Amino acid sequence: MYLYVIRHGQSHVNVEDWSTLDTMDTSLTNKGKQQAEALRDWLIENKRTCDALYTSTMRRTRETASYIETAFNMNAITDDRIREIGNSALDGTALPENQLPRVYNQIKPDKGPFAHRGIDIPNGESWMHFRTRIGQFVDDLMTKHQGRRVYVVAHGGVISAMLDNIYNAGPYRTARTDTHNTGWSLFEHQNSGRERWMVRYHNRIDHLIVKDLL
Amino acid sequence: MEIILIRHGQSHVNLPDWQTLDNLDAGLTEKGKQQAEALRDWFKANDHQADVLYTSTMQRTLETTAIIADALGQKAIHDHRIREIPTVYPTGDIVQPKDIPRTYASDWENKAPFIPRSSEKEGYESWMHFRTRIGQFTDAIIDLHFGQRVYVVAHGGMISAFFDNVFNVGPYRNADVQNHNTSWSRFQYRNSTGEPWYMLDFNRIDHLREKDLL
Repeated sequence: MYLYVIRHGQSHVNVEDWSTLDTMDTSLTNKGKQQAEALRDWLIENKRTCDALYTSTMRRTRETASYIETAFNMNAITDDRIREIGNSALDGTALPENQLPRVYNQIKPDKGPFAHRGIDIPNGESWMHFRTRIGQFVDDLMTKHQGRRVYVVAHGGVISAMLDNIYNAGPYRTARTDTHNTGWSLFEHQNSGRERWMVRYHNRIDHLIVKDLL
Repeated sequence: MEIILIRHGQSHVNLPDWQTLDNLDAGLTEKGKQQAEALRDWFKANDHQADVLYTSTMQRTLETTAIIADALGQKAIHDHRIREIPTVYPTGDIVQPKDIPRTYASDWENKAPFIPRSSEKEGYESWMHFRTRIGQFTDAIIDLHFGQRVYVVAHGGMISAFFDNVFNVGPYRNADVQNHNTSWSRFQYRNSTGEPWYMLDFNRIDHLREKDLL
């Protein structure tokens, strides 16, 4: 399976003061839309193909996915399990929009992997809860799409959690990753051979560099 | 802080015909009671005193705790977070005795750390959900009892998950640990510049050998 993971375009939560926002489930900014358009055009120009397209159910990912749907002429499957950390309940379902956390724990996953991340809501998920739902999602993809090309529009945290799982990192991790808005990564999974996973690319931003949209 | 993990005495769910039991939240066997009494006597003879005592809320741990609590000089604090896998849902709710599964998923932690431990009904926790709640319990006792000696009566799986967390093992582990019924293991948590955790004793069964109760 070729697992392409795309981070959403720039959204208002990425650039504005959270205390001034009406909602934590914000849309793309104008620049975010241009980034998604640039990726759409790049995918078409480079004749990329896709067997299945998934998107997180948050606004910034659904809006980004709508551009990717055009590139592949295909509808995206929505999945709550790939929402950003803190935005799901412990049973994996989406939190209601008016209950999304705004205040995150200053203790980060390197020191507090089991600590609640959103601290202004009851029972917020921890980094390890988050890694577990991302792991369940990826397990599911491997069952359904073996040997296929799967694109997933998700969040910076999702890509980071996938890498922790693929590398079998312990809870108290010593490395993290960063991904630009609309940057994409490719993880390849094989059932045979030595290691089952291969990181092919991380944070590809060719489309942003060409159009000066970094 | 010192944390001493005690596995419960032999219970009816540890016998080969456990799947035929009416109630899977079963109590101790006669041998299990004798093991707990032996541990009580050994703790007394060796001057073990607890600052705090926690117990899982399952029948086999409650009965073990009832036998040893006096010797340790403490009343036990009941804590659902240290129940055996998968008797707590990811939400933190307890699995009722009638819903405790009798069959488990075919792949174990080494291969399927994110998959629910049983497919009998929806919603059971995975190994990584379990590790997360054990991690949250451990974080909480470090906060509450730093500098103290904490005794915990729990389960084989709990000790195994605690081990994975303390040694910072990734989800796809390569090793498991085994504990005899009523064995005790001792870990130290220090506020030091080196590794914070030390394992001082593991699967200590002096009391069982003396009385031929292995």
